[in-house]
Amino acid sequence: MIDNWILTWITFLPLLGALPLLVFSEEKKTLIRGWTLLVTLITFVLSLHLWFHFQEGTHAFQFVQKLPWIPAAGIGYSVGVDGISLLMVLLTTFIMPLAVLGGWTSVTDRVKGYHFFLLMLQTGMLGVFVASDLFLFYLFWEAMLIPMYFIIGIWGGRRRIYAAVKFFLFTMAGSVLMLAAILYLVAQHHGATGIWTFDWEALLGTQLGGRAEMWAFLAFALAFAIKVPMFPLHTWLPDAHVEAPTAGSVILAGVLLKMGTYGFLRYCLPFFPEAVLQFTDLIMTLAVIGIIYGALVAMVQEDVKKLVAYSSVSHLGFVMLGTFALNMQGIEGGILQMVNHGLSTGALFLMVGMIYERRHTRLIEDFGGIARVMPIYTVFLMIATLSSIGLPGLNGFVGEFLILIGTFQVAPLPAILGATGVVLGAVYMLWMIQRVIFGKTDKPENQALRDIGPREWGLLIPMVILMLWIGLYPKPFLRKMDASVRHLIEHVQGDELTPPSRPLTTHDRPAQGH
Amino acid sequence: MDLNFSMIAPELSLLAAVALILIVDLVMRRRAPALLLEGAALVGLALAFIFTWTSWQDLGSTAFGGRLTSDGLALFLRALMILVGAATVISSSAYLKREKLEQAEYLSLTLFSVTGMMLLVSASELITLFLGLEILSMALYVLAGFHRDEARSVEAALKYFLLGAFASAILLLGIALLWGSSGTLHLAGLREAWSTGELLHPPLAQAGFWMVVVGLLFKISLAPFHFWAADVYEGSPAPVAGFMATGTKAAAFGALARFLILGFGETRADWVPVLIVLAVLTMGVGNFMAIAQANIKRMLAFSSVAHAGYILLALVAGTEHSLRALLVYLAAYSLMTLGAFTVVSIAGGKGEERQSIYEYAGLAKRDPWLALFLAVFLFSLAGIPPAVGFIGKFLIFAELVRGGFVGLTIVAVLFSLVSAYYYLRVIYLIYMREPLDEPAPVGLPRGAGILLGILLILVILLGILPSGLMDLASRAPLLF
Repeated sequence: MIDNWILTWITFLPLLGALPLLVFSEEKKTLIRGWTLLVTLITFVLSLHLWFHFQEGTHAFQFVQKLPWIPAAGIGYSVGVDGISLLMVLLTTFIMPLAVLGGWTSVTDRVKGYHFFLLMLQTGMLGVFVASDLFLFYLFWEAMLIPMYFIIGIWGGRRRIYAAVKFFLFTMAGSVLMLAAILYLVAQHHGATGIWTFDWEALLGTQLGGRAEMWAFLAFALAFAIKVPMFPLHTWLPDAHVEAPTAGSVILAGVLLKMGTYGFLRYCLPFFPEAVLQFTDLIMTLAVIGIIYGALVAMVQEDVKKLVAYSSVSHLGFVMLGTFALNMQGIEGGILQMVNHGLSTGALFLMVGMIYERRHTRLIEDFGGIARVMPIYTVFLMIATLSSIGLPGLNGFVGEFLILIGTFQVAPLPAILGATGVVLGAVYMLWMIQRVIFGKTDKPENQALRDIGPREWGLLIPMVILMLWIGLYPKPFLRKMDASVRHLIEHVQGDELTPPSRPLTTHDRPAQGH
Repeated sequence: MDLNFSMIAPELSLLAAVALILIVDLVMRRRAPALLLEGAALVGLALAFIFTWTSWQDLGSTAFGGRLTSDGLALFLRALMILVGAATVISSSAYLKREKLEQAEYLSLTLFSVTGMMLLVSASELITLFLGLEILSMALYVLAGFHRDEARSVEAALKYFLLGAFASAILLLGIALLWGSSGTLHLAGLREAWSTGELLHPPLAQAGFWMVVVGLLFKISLAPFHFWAADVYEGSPAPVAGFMATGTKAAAFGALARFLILGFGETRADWVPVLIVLAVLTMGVGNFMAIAQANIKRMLAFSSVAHAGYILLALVAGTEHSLRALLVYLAAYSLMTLGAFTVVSIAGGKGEERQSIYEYAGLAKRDPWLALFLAVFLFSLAGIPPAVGFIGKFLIFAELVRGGFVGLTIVAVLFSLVSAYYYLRVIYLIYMREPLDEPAPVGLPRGAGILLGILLILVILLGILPSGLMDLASRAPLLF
């Protein structure tokens, strides 16, 4: 049955495709790049099957495959997607070919290893999103560190080793505690039922309660918050982003950070509902601080890449805000915003990479008046920027708007403060654009810059199409999430004191009339 | 008394191989081709392995009047010892050739040592245990100083011998005290005497118990009995260091597990708190001292100390599957540590001159295969999935949580985070730093290359599919 095996194929195809790379000659760089692109494209095409055959009416996992793996330790190989992970899987398979294309000309040293690690990374990321066994999830979560460590550390910028080690240790710091919490959860479930299992669905009903639940929640939340990253655990992110090669940054921003927010939705919320309600205020506060702090720091950056990196801190703050609003609009907006951020920030990093390749600098002051020499580049950069700052009609608006509506219903103050982040976002992005793109072309180095070529067109067009699609007609995306998100909210709210939020009607969704 | 010689068929085949090697060497006037001697050693080990394997049939049989037991724990570890011995024979081959050292003596001492280890893990009576320990130690004292023209090697042998003899004396005194107070040296007898309280001098019996434990902890190199490890590993030939770090440790752990569980399982509550303190101390000392090392052999020595701390936690947990976790961890640890020391012995070059981790910078460009092997083994030692090192840690932590030691688990996972730092440091030196000088590539001897390839495949394969290994290891709880 195709539906049983499809997720396994999608997940492991990149790794399988990475193996032939080992026998390719290091000299045949175009062959290596082309092969990698082909593998990622096939993976993407396979993943489209999920999009077309996904049943919208149910919250249950679909395309499920369960195989015995380590029965002696209660571990099974079990994968599936629901409305929450579907878009993450598609985002990953969509971004990867673009990331490969994005590094086509900039990575020239040890090309084979680079593409091997890219494909290995893809398997790791997809595995995190499809796993429905906690051991399997943890395995992918940790294994993914290895390729990313090498990608940053070998092909990165000047301070790459520092950035790579910092990335590795920060992430691992969170995840080892999560491992302890996973084991605790499993042991408690074992104590209650006599069954030792790591299966996600089986563990779902485990009642921890009280302080134990609080600590377990904190251990999971720490691992995810570092990945998101939430203020004040974000310090690894600018280093990693700035030092990583273009494709590394695109993947980091596009997919890796989402593993944190996804973790909250998949594990923290359903497993520790009591603790979630208890910590909502704290997390919302940190999210708002992240939004404003990220925006303010982004404003004063002189390096474009660093600016985009800090803007991620701000944007992911929005996602967290929406997630902990715990209502339809908030969570759906959050999930959509994860996709949006992957698209807009991914595109921005790609475009920063493009001018870096041409000028070998990323400092804002080295540019100016680019619009005159690179008009098409300018158009694309404007679209990505406007998408990033949430202009109506583009994708960013839909996500941010839903998040703010959702948050406002339960916590007006964070919503209002968060909204200032939208304004600040416009300030730092447009100011950067103004200094880089417009004005006089007064630097001689900038006079003769080449405008974007066919490969770069091919990179940006798919992104822009999606930005417009989600911006103008987000319904197909939201509809896919509905059942799963509704079920998640019912599960978390349970019979708790908080009144259930209004069911989402079509009127609440912005920008559908276009 | 039932002698049951068939049970020690593995040991006998090793001794036969030793005799054969020495005679051939004598007859051929020290000009026997290395391949012939190694072949004899490997055939002896293969026979021993087959005999061990076939005795899964009569699990639980005993020999020499109950002095040797063939239970799951013993068989698993005996098989592991044989494989460790075989790996050491192969990894030493290129080393001995490079350093122009005698094959015959080296191989026979290695096989003697394996024999001692096998006796040690099967002994269910304390004099037999002592014999096993001494056979393995005596051979290792010589092996540590086998590079007798190197001052470092001789120094290592002397240190190991002096401290080792001291530990053996303590162990022997402990055995005497136990005998004096309970009149028996069989573990089953001791268990009975302790549970019924028929002890002549309880304080002396207590002292005897702890002295035996300390003697074993010394071989395991558990803090605070670890001081010899770094110096001895640094000076010994790298293949010998790998052999000591894996074989000795695993054998002594097997003996300790048997001694504690079979002999003193009833008084668990007395010794568990002490083990907790020692485990935390060991993980702390091992991991933090490893950070401070610039010599790769010293770093691996402290890392092996740290790993002993994790393994001890399996004995603390005391759950149904904790022995399974212990055995899987020992197997995993042996694979990756042997691999790391094999790489170190090759990458060190003639006379093992290059031992500083900073001299590993640029290894990926000079010797890409060595670099790859070392990186995988180090990731595995750090406990990063999908390598087998992760499975070992995971199983031990799982048993620990199941046993109710959640706080201890958190301490242990945090120490494993610390360990990632020093393993990663070597990896980034290998892959990401430009070399300090431009040494010639050392190349990869064929035998060692095959060995490393097998170890690498096992490290990854058992990391992804550990079920088979776990099933083998789970026959050990028959012990209880």
